[in-house]
Formats: sequence, C-alpha cells, structure tokens
Amino acid sequence: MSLQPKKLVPGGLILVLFLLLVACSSNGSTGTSSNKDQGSTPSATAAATITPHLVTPKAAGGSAGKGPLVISSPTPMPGGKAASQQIVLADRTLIIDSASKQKGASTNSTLINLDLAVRNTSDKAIMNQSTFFQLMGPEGDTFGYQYNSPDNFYGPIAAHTTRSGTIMFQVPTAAASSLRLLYRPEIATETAIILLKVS
Amino acid sequence: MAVDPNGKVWFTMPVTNAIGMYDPVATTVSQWAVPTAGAGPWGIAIDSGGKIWFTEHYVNQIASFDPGSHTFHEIATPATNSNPYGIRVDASNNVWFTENSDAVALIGEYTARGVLKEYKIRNTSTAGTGLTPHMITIDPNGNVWWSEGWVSAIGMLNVAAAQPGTNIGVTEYFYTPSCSSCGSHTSGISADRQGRIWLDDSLQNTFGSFPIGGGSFSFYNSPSGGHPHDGLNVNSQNRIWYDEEFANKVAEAIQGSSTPTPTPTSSSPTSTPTSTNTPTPTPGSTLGKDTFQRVKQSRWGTASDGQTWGGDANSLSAFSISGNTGLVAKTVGNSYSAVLGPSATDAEVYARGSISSFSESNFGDVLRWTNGNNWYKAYIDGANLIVQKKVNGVTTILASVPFRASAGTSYTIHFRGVGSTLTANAWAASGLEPSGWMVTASDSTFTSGYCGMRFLTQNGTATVTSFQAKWL
Repeated sequence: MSLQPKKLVPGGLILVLFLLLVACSSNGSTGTSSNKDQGSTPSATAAATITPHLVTPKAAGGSAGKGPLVISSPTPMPGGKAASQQIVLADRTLIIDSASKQKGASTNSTLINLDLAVRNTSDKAIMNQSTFFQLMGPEGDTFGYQYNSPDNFYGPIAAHTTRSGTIMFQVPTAAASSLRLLYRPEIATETAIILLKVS
Repeated sequence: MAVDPNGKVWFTMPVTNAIGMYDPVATTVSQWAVPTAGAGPWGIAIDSGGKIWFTEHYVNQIASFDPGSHTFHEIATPATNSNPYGIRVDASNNVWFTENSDAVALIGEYTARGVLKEYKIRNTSTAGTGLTPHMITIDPNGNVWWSEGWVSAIGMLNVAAAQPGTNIGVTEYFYTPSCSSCGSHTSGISADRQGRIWLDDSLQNTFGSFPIGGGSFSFYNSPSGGHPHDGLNVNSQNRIWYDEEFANKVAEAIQGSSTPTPTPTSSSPTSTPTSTNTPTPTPGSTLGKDTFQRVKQSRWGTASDGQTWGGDANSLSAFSISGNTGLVAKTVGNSYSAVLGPSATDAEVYARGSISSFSESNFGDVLRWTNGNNWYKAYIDGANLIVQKKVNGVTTILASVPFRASAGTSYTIHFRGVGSTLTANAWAASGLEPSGWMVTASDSTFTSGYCGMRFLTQNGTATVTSFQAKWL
C-alpha cells in the first residue's frame, strides 16, 4: 500500500469545540518526528499548514451538570509528606498520606501503594468498598485491579471513625506516571479525581 | 465527538457532566446535564434514528439522549467497575462499547431491542494485565474491532459467531512496538471501506493499518510525533484523520490508489486461546515445601524445594531470612502474603511459626489465594482459631473457635480445603495435632488458587520455621 504525504491541519473547526471544552490554544505550529517507521513503507511527512478559522459560538441554552471534584494541583497537608492530600467531602474526608511505587510481579507491571485513610465525618455509617478506588492512567484508562489491601479496610465505617491502610494497585509500568485516583463512593456527587504525586 | 445527519456536532463534557451540541450553521452551542452526577460522559455515537449514545466512564453506565424529547436513558453494566469508554452503533442500531478497566475488560452490546449483552475478550483473568479495551469501531462486514490499550493489540469480534458470556468469535492481533523503551498504548481505531482497520499508538507516535481479513500490521510515523490518541477516524474517501494531542494538530493521511499489499512486519496476529490447560494434580504430592534452612538474606528467596516464593515474600522488605527461619516484621496495619508452588484446587497447608505479639496481629495459612484481596485463611490471633475469606477486598469470618495462644510460642496451623469444605486445626508445636477438626466452614467462593501464609504483625515479628503444602 502506498501512502501519500500527509497533510497537517492544525485545529480548524474541530478545535473550535475543543476551545469551548478545554480552552486549549491552537497555534498551529508544525514539527518533525524522529521516530522510525516500522514497516517498509515510507514515513508520512507533513505537507501543509493551514491557519485555523476560529469561531466563537453563542450559547443556545442548557446548563452544565454536576461533575466530579477535580484536584489537579495537590496541596500537601500541613506537616504531612510531600505527596499527602486531604480531600474534604460532604460526609467524609479522604486523606492520602503518600503514594509510592514498586516493581510488580511481572516485568511489565508496577505496584502503586496508596497510603490513605477514610474519615467518616457524619453521624451515620458510610460505605467503603474496593470498587470506590480506581486509578486513572495518562491515556484515559482506568485500572481497578487491587493486588492487596489491609484485611480490615473495606466495609462500613461507623460514624466519626476512621479506616486507614495501604491499597496496592497493579498497573502497566508504562502507565505508572501521571496517575489520578478516581474515588467514586456510594454518593455520586462525592466523586473526586485527584492527581497523585507518586514517589 | 460525533456528527449527526444534519451536520450538528455532538460532544461530551466529562468535567461538567454534560453533553453538548454545536450547530455550525447557527454557530451556537447547546448543552444538557447528564442525570447521574459525576458520570463522566466520555465516548459518543449517534444511531440511525438520531439518538445520541454515550458512555459514562465514571459510573459504569451507558446512556442515550433523545434530541427530540430532550430525555436521557441510562443503562448500568453488571460490573460496578467497568468504566465504559469507546462506543459505536452498528447498521442495525445495536450499540457497542468497551468496558475499559482491566479488572473487567469486556465488550458490551446494548441491542436495538434493549438487551444488554457482554462478551469476554479472554477466558483467563484480565485483572492486572493492562488489557484496557479502549476505542471501538465497526467494519464494513459488521464485525466489531477495538483497541486494547496497554497490550499493543487490537481485538475483533466476529459477530456471527459471538456468544454472550464467552470469548467465542474473538481474535486478538498483537504487534511489536518498534521503540522498546517508549511504552505502547493502542488508542484510536477506525475502519475504512477498503478492508483495513486503522489504529494509532500514542506512545509510539505511530499510526497504522491492519487488514480485516487478517495479515500484518503496517505502521507509519506521525510526522509531528505529538501523541496520536483517541480521535482517529476514516472518512468516506478513506482518508484517515487523527489528533496529535500534544502537538496541537489534527492530521490527515491520504491513502494511495495502488492495490493494498500488506507489508510483512514482525507483528503477527495471535488468536486468543479459548481454554487454558493446567497440569493435572497428583493426589498426595507436595505443592511446596520450605524448611528455611539457608543463609541470612532479605526477602524469602528460594524455598528448600527449589521453588521461588511468591506473593509479597520476594518484593517487600518486611520479609527476610535469619537464623534459619522466615521472618515477617513490621507490617504495621497491613497484611502481607507469601505463597509457594502451583495453583491447586483441593489442598492443605501445614505451617509452623510464632509471633512476637498478638496485639492486633495474627498469622496463618492461606488456600486458593489469587492475590492479597482474594483468598481463604485460617489464622490464630491469640484468642481464636478463625477461618476467614477475603473477596475483592472484603473479609468475612466463616467460622471460629476459641484457641488461646501466647506470643513467642510456636504453633502449627493445619488448613485444608476440599471442595467447598474448609477445615483447620491449630496446636502448640510441641504437642500433637487434635484427632478431629477444631473448626469447619463451608464456602464455594473460590475453587482454586495458591497455598501460602499471610501475616499481620503491626510492629512485631512473625517467625516461620516450616511450611508444607500438599495436593489432595
């Protein structure tokens, strides 16, 4: 199969939507690649640069929903470790003491150790289940496989008590950076996404 | 994003939990809040009736939106950790989507008649493998293809052969990334009308194709690098469009007019086996044995039977060998496991050891262990002999009997699992095993797994002098 030189179209109309969604810019610069081609066919090459046509659409109605709490700039707890974080939710506080990684059982896997505590700040018992805790990788995938956890960690947490321990997630080694904790408890409005500082 | 027959562009907004529609003629944007809070609307597709379908990545649902009535309909997957990702609608208005978490890793189908079906990709456990079904597409024959995230592969479901609940009809096609140190993530995927599946690998900075009839992958460098990711599509002229996420560009690749000839590469398709062969156990044979008679070392290393300890025994510093004993020290509030030998169904463990303190501490034998979150355990805590199970992180005591044990005294724990019957004894190592079973429980959660031990020592130390596991 032959492949003609490739055109690069920076942004364009498609980017208009991205502008609305994530406020990204569209400077449209071109670059070169140093990667090698895997097949015997030639590498595609950049062939065109087109100035994007930016449109600022008008709002035609509707409203945003209730999204997750997103913490992308973690602030260490006073007196805590550099990776520590405290996430205060309506009926509970999530305390991340540290996040570290170690070699996994296979060559391509890494264990992410998350030292954390769940503090029930309400007057009623809250739930604490393994499926509440997942890691989101840099490519958008979610990893739910927990290799280990304290034997008394999961289960209902009584009012005004705290449950703590280390959850060990197994992830592909290539995905062991820019990880975020997706915490999705029984109350959907308390969903939180927290960038982890993994040491 | 997806474009409807009227040219309106639909997109998801996971951060604000809404779907939006851009009207290019009126240059307006409308949005609708998703009913479930924090749902994470993600992939999006449109059926032939104009209904909008999207995955709700954070809450394990897919959903539809009727632009006429402005109503939503949400459908949950059975698994509460499926994290649906990509979504497509086939020519018969069946909705196909990926269940992204590698702990689940399924292909879902919500039929036009409103029935949810799920198809396995593999018969073996995918948890922890990095198999994260990602984007999804439909080829001109109606078969379903998906990118597989972290395993350098794409998968295909032959819809005519498919059977829900199985991986019949599934074939995975693997490739070898050219850059071995770059990582590999198979992200975008789309089918052209000339018999090729197009895909990109964001970490390799490549895009490529694979013949739908099978063959070899052909890959091309993305000129700007730039992380070609999820947004890969083929238009009606068979041109390939994809995003270069970090280069801030959209790329277009134009195929030549020559007859396609697959270029052989080192990447070969691999069909997923439909069954896994396991060695036939020999009743009475030893699965694993360790006397711990070896030099002082960190971790537990190799047992006296020549097998390497698994679980946490060779990865955590809590484990060591000293004084011809196996030590487990300072696990704090966490419990750690050591397993030895092959997986077994019916088996028993004899382990002898002591612990420096029973204060919020215990140790015991495990059977049918698959990881730290799934096992049976018989342990002593100073006051009782307890049979417990842990299923997906949740522990349940199955049976217990009073058994007073002292710190620093050596005890033998005998734990046996035959079918659904779990039995255990514990006694001072200086004495003899009781003639009957001290505690018996019945449970059928686990049918097979590894044999070993599990320890919770807080700031103390457990000392193990012998371990033996047998097939029954």
